[in-house]
Amino acid sequence: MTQAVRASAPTLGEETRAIAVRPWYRIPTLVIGLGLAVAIAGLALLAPVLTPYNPTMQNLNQILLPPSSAHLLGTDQLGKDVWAELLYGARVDLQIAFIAMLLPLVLGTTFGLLSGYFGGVVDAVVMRAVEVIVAFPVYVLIIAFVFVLGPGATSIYIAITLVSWVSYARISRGEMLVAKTQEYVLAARSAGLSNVRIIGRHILPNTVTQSIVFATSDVVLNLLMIVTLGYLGLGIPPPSPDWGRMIYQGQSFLTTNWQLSTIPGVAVVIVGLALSLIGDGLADLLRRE
Amino acid sequence: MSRIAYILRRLLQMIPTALGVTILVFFLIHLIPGDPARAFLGPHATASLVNAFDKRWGLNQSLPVQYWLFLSRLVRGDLGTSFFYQLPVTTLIMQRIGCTLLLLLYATVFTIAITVPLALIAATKRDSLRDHIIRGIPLVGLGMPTFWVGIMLILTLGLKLQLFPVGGYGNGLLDHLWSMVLPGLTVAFAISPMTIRSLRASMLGILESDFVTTARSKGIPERRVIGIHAMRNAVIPAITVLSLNIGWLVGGSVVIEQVFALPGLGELMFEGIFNRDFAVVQGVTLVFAVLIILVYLATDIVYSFVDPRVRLT
Amino acid sequence: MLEVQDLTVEIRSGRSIVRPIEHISFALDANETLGLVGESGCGKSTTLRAIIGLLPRGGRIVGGRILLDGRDLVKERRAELQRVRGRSVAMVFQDPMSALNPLMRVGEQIAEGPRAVLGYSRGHAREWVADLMRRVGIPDPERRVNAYPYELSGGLRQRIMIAIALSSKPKILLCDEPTTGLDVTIQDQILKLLVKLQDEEGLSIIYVTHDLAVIAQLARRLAVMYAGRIVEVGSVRDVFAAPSHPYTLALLRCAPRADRARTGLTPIGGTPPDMMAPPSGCRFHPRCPLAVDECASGDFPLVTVGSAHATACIRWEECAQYAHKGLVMVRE
Repeated sequence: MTQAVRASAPTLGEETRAIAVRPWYRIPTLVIGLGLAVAIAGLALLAPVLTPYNPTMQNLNQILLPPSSAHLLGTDQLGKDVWAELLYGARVDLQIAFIAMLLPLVLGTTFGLLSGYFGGVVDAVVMRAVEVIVAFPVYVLIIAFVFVLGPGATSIYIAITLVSWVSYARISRGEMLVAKTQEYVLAARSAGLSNVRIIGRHILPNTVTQSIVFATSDVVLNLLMIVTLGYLGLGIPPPSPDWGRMIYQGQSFLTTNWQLSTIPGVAVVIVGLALSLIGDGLADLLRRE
Repeated sequence: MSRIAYILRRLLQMIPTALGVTILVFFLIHLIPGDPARAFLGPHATASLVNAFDKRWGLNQSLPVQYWLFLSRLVRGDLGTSFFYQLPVTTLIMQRIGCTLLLLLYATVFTIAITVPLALIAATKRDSLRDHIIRGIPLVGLGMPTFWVGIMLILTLGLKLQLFPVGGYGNGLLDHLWSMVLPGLTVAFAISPMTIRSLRASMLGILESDFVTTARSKGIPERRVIGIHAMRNAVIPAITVLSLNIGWLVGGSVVIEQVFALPGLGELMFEGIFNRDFAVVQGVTLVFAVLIILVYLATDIVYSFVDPRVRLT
Repeated sequence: MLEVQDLTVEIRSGRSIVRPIEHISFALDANETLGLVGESGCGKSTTLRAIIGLLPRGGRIVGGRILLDGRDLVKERRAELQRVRGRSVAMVFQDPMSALNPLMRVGEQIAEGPRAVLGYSRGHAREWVADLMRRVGIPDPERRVNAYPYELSGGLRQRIMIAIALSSKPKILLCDEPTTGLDVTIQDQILKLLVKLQDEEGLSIIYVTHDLAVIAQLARRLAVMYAGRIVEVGSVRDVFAAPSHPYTLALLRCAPRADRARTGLTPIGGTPPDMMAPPSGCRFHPRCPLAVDECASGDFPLVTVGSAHATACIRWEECAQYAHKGLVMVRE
């Protein structure tokens, strides 16, 4: 009798998962990135310990000093210690950049998954919204929103959320469209599982990885946005320290104290580097087999 | 003939999206707290002055009516008038658009000039030291705030080396061309990390593809394999990435024009927002949106020339 | 004409090292067709790529020789190998849709080789291309020459691939499953075309496939590969009549054949070996109905069992008996 070699469809438990190819500590980019990120977070958190100065304290006798043992990075045009401003500014800017990533991640991924899963009207509506927002220049939109809502952290959160969810929606919609055709989904549907269960238990775990990898670059984008707003005068209002505003104020002194504008920018680059490394490392880690 | 029909059809399709944009902008502007009359006339303006202002600019009518007026003027090519400058918005835009378009041009040319050679080297000499260095560029570059890059360029090339003006647009064509170098370079540095990473990735994919193997199996020189076969196919994804970033650039010009004190559309937009000058913001936003859509359209058209598989339906 | 001796290839990707082929030896005479048969993943394509010098990234030859008219290709520098390609050895690939440049007209793709390698002028190349297209049976070549690959049917695309392969007048043609995935009628046409071309041009062909029926139609000699090794080699007639390796026998049993009453398809039990950790000893032993303890370790070089017929199985005599009796072997 013939023994047929049966190609078995994967059962619900066997669906292709994004599996870790190697343990996380073996991926150099991830390790270096995490290390750098931890160091940066440490510096920010330990700000009070690392500098005796108050970043908002002006001292008009000590303006525009170069770096010295008393002032590690010198002082700015109002006598404020630059190192203190940098550290405390980190607390403000980094925190906002990170938190501002969360709501778009959740909202955008949800919309994207629903849009891809149900198609039809839901998809049409979501995609039109995406198109209109995408047709807008991002910077203009956010500047406008922040302006409308008044400067401050809350406005920044709202503005970024209104614009950022789009990327997550596109990513997760794309993933959903692929996942929808996979055998394990068809199996689940034919088994009569509810949509919520299918999306939540089975599809979600496999499709969020792309969104999570993007989230790391999103934090960088948020930070850039916050710093840019600060430069334009639309960021966190004074006296709260802000890297963007530091750069703006330093621009008038480029000829004499170029470090005032340079240093905060370098700080942003380092944060960006750390997050990019983490993002690359995560992408490596979660690569599908 | 079908290509022209295709272009016309795409232009028509552009209209609903552009309209959506105008609605969004219109209602957004009217949410701005603060009365444009008072913003313009000052907090001590009398009520009668404010009323006269409102009446003059039609601000005392309901929003839907104002929107209708806006649309009907739009159809006639009238984008309204700026409170601040007391000039038609269209005039202001025409004055400024040259600067912004020049910036776009410089940015595109510089980006291509930087991206293509670097991506090519990285892809063909994969895993060499050069490749690793080039791959490091996006890691560092993506975290660089654009305006900061501009300032750094001003510091180095402008102040220290005195090669280029540190700001402003100058008078006359030659001045214009010279003063756009640093801004254009700034944008190119901002965009290049993305485009390099992208182009390198597509080149790698192409270099491992079957038709490249076929080409090599013919015994033709490697120079030709890469120069003709690989490059031709790499153009398409490269154009995609470039166009996406140009879209970003249109908005990014707001910031860059601030850094370099350039009298372009971005700067106009910025002022418009600060002055609560509705008409200006509406008008410039519309122009931005149209520009971006035109860039996408141009991209599609370039595709249809480069890739014979693109159906013009 | 072409002789492969003890060829071993290593492919390194990330941390893993795989040897897709090991100690491969066979010879190709002038004007003959050699079939290279085996399951997917057994190393047939890798062998062809090693010969033409186009191993995938991370792949290199780590042992053995490839003698083309006396010259060892393994020792040649890249520039030399480039000269060999096209002019002496050419390859026909499996999937013409992906193997042709989608953005280049087919005429240009055919002309490219001769213009660069043989130095043909544009006009001469144009005539040559039209001639080639006619010879591979493409109707209306003057019109088709400006077509893009996506505009042509699968069969036509494969003919274009063949035209490309022949364009610089090679002596040896390496065919990597060129008819897999094509319609059966088209497959037949392409095979007949290859036979015709071989006759007319005096080509030597190495034809890789997993389909024994094709070999029967096309080749005079064949080599059977399993898990990166050659397990049997001989003339098609001898091997079909007296298969001397259990794997060959199993392949023959699996292959639907029109000239024999079917006793039912008998697929080979077990799964193909994992090339990252292949079985010790004879690689087929885990799936082999004739396996004994000795099969699990040691080397199994080819031993001669007839005129120009060799096998790697130590129990080849039993094997031949099974074949002779027409018994079906099923592994429990």
